[in-house]
Amino acid sequence: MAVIGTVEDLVKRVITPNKKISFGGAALFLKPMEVVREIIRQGIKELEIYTLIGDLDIDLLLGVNAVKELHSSYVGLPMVGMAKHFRNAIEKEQSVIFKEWTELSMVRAFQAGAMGTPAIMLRSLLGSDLVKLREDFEEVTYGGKEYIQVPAIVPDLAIVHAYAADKNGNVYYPKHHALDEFSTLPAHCAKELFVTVEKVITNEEGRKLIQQGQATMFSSIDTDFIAETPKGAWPSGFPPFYASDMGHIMTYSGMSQMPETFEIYLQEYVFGTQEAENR
Amino acid sequence: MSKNQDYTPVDQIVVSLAREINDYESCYTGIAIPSAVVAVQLARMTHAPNLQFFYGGYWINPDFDVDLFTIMTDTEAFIESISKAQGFSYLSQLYQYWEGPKHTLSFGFIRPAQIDQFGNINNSVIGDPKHPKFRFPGGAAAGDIINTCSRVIAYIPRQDTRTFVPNVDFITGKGSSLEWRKNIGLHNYQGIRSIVTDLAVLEFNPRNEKMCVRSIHEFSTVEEVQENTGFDLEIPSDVPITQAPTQEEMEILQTRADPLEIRNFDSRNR
Repeated sequence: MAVIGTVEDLVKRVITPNKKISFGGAALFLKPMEVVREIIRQGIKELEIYTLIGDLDIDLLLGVNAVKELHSSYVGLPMVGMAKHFRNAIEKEQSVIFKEWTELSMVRAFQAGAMGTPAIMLRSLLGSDLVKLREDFEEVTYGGKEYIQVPAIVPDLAIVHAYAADKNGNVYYPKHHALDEFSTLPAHCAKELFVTVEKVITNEEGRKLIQQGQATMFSSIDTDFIAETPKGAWPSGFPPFYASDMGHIMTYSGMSQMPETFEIYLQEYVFGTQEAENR
Repeated sequence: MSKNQDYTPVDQIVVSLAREINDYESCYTGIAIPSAVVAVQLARMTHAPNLQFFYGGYWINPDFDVDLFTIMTDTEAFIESISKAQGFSYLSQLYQYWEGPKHTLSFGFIRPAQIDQFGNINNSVIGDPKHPKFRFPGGAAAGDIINTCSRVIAYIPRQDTRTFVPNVDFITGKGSSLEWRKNIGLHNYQGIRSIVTDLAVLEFNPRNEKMCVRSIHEFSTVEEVQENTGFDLEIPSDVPITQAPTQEEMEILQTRADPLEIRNFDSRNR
């Protein structure tokens, strides 16, 4: 049975240094942003983060030096520009170990984790220097053909944002959305699942959503922790409910360029949010 | 550089990319390469109406003329985009097209940050990979596409010696050597077969597998192409001039394929 609580309490309870965590969402859609902000508010560091496409979520965490190891296929602010702290952390400060995957190899590693197989073979990485950088990637021959074998990703915890959860922990999602796999892939391979939702609903309301054509994205067996966070993916988008706030992403991009302006950003949009909630 | 012409270098890039497409093929483009997306739409509206187009892993044969920026910033447009496509695929469906038993897509598009004379691409780092001087955002799926589509069409909005280097510092995706591909069992996946830039259309000489010029755009020169390439480029003495966009192509581009001019995201000053 899932534990339903506040973001503040649940982050305190389940996110600790050195935890291996996967994030749902991609490319400024459906990032678990309220959890990211809460991690920063609580000053939790030394995290190991996995996400298919990293954007504001990763750049914010790198800006406060909260990540010790990062796995992704791309980190940038799509349509806006490069991610400043991502570049800084690697080029200047060398404060993060970045392990680059290709999109497909990372997806296969998530799927391997979900299947309970320790590794998986694929061909798209053949010839790539990404293989040379990794001790855990292996060139193998199977049935006379060459493959690259990559290890399964099995995070301690997955954090995703979704539409609604009922009291049992069933999580609902608008049907035929396509973006949902950016969240289910990194979730099904993890040992525990933390879902933030736009709203917590009753079991009856959940049944009504199914009748209206929504899908059960996660069952109560999948979910461990649930927090209600209206607009919890902001400023990443959650269509059809809200769009990616590109104006804000541009503001962030500008303010992330200098430490002084980034500090103002944090005070205003990370620490300020909680202040607003407390009022 | 440019003469008095009624099209821009980006228009030439889009039109040249569209001409790489054949009818009845299947293809994939990512969400962040605007000129490729527009080229596909143009091809579908001209010589390739039966193309199967997978856009960004979700939309199948989309008929919307809104760009990704609009889709991202406008939830109505997002919903509308779904109703204006022939279908909507799941992400894992796309990955199945890349490596599953149905074999493969005819072609995919990529926009490398750097490319070398053998067609190796670098979207990762400049300098020592452990302590890079410059960190690119990452290849996302570029390295996968290069080994999972029958052929790959690349474009680079601004050809210069920083993007066209003798050997890339880091191989995010392996190049176009057909011999290497045959030896490793990737003979069905030919890697990059053509590269369109703001100066020329490039390809690979099958004799030595090195990059060479197929044609030069009418507003650029042989000298300009060589000057903006960091290695010796084979340029035939009677090098053809790229066919400029026709009036019909320009009209379709402006009115139907890309009325919002998202191709100009790829516009670079020279």
